[in-house]
Amino acid sequence: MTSLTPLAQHYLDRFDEALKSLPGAGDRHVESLRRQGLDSFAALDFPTKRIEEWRFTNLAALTKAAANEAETIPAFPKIEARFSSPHEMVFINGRFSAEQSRLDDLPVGITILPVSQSLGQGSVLNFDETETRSLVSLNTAFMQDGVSLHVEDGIILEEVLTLTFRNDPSTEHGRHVRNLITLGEGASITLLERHEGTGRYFTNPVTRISLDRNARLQHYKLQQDSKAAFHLALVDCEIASGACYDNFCLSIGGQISRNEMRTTILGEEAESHLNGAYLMRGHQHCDTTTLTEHTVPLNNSSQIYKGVLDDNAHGVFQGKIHIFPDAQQVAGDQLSKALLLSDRAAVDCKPELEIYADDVKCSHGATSGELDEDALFYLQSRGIPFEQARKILIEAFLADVLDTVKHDDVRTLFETLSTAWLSGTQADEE
Amino acid sequence: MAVSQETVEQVASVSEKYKYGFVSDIEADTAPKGLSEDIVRFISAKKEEPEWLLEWRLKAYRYWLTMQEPSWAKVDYPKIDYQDIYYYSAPKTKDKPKSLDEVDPELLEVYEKLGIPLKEQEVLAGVEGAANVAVDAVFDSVSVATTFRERLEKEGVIFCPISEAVRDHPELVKKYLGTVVPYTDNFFAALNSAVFTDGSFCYIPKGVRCPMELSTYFRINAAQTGQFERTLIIADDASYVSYLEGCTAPMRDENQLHAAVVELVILDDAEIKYSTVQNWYPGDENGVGGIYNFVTKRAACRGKNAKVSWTQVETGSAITWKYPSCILQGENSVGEFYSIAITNNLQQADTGTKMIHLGKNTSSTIISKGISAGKAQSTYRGLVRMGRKAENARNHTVCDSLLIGDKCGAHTVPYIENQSRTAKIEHEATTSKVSEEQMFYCQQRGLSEEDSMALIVNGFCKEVLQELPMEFAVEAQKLVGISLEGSVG
Repeated sequence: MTSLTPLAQHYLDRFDEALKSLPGAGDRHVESLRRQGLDSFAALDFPTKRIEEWRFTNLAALTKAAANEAETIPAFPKIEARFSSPHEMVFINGRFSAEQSRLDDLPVGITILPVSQSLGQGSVLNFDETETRSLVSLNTAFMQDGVSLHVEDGIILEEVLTLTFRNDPSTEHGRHVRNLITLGEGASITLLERHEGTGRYFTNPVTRISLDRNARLQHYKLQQDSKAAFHLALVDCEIASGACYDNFCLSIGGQISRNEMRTTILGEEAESHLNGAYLMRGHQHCDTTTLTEHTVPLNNSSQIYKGVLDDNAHGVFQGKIHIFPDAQQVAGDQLSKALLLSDRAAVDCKPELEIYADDVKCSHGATSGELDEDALFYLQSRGIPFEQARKILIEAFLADVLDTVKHDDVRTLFETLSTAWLSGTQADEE
Repeated sequence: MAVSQETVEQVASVSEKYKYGFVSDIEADTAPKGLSEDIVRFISAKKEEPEWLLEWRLKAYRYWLTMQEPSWAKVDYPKIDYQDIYYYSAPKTKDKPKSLDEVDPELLEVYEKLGIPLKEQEVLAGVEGAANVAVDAVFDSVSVATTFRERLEKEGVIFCPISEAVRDHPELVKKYLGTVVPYTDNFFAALNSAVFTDGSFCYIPKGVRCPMELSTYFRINAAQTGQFERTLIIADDASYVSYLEGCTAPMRDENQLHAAVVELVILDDAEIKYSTVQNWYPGDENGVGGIYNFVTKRAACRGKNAKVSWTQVETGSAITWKYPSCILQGENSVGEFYSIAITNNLQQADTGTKMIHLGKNTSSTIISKGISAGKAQSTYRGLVRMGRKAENARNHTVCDSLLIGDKCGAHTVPYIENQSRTAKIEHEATTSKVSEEQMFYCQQRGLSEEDSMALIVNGFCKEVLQELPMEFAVEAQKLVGISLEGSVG
């Protein structure tokens, strides 16, 4: 066997020691799951570009570096966008913070607990032998905490429930958060997941979502990690008949960030909508990888992703629609658009269709290029200065994907952040 | 309206099964089975090749030994035993035929059966100036005859088997062979470089517009052989050539390997139009037999304003693994790829193109139509890459898939890599089935179900079919019908 990357070796060496302080210490079942996760990770190591799903994202900057997060990196000016929600669960460096969380006003029928306190209650932590994603295995081995959320049948929450993950450099490498979200029949909820922090750190959140019949989940994510951070997130979502999963991810932060999503449609009339925008500059790298599986007939899915890339930024979109045999009368659409603002920016795109049923309607589109010169010229000829004209056009480019955010307050937040990004508030520190 | 004779014939030929499946009993000169350095030396010695070429073959062979067979394509086949193949098989002749009269009559009969006019006089008897096609016929990887040599020579065009080119024009071969597809390129290209037995060579000198279409017909005949031919076409400054390629093989219940390499070099202001009708034996309805078609085709637009156009109709082969590519290096160079891939029964096709934009103002167009029927799997796999210096480069890609029946699959795997701000890339793909309304409309006009399907599919493919030279377009249209036979009803 080839030797492991220094970082993987670091994790292996640290495991026995770490086990003592991780939740579930002493619980034989949990420890055995963690050990299985570790073995699987040791066999796989961190993904490299040799793996097809990772061909556009190189993790060398993460895996080759010393496993020392505490190196001093100056704090970055952050966009302050106020967003108040009555319910908030906060995790600091991967661990639940009771002081900063506000969960008392949640209605009956919504159970939310930190995973560290609910490990005894079953399936939060699990190990799947067929799992080939090493980051999931790593997460299983070193899981520190996470959200365990269950919404009972028919419960509808109008307000936004915010999940905040705040990170700073610390001597412990990695934030391995595991979230489990289950919605009962007809339940409906809106989640806003926020990631933010300072300095250099590695965060690896794994989220499993299960939607029962006719449930609705609006899952919004704001990835505003520090620009030296490594953010590698995975979401697996199962959707029963009549249920709807609506995801939007706005990515602004991270040195290397990746948002990997798998949605599996298990019932008729179910819907999966994955949308997002990524705004990158400096040497940032942002990867969006999706897999939508239609396993049964009569349902639909859609995806729209838009990226704005400046300086040396690099964007990646890999999206796959997989239609199983006999999953007839399915509609799947996918669109990826990227705007390159600089000569050194780059985008890689792989919109994939894998179809085994004939009565389906699937399409995908991908475009990339610069701003339309004619439109720029037109605006300038009307007396609008170049910089402003450029901004107007980029805002317009982003508008239709931001419009897919149905919750007004969240949409306003995302719009404010995009506009601020365009004005360069988060000016580059490099 | 009375049914014209033509229609009757067309329908008759459409309803024919794979008509090229016959085997001809021609004595062949074969090398022992298996692959080793000795076999490579044997082939080279048979061809009386110079030392440099043998060295090159051996380097390729040694490199091949270090390589692994690729497994990333979406095709599934049992492992190939490379020691169980004959790497050299040539129709036996006493001496080199000096003219067509000396060619084994049985061989000529084969080509006649295939509908390929090898006999110059027949064509020459026609009206002067009528469209002529110069043919190079390759039989079990050895070129047997090339027509119209003299006429082409008058224009300075060199069109001959590559083995002859090695002898007569070593400077050209040495300069260009392996520069577009080096032997290190991939597993099958390395194998081909080591054991290629023949193929066509073509050189169009500066400023010459090739007076006729050039064509090569490939035929696999002997059992348990692999066919490894190598084609090299060089279009010098401001020249033009249209090149056609056709392929057939007998029906056998074993799988045969075909691993060819095609290299095109296009210099300033030159253009090559390369059309393929690939009709290797696809195997029977149970997936028994058929050709494994693992081909590397690449064009290098080295000069300014160079243009290359690949048009392919892929109906045959049990498994197709083929990505005709364009390296657009010269400023303003243009690459085009038009493809129809039809898979029926248990056929598998993983095909597409690569457009690699390196130069300024380069542009490329990809039109790919995939049709799956029966239990077939068809995949479009393509790459569009814009390099940093590809200012104002353009790409437009359309890949559509049509599914006939609920047991087949259609897949699209495009890779789009853009490093150039000013480049514009557009990609669109759709997958759908033949609508019931369309079928109903055709049928209520009196067409049978199968004819309706052939008509609709031909319409679906039209954008690509119209890119084919006339001689091929008719054949291709019929092929579309034949290939889909049995897919409806």
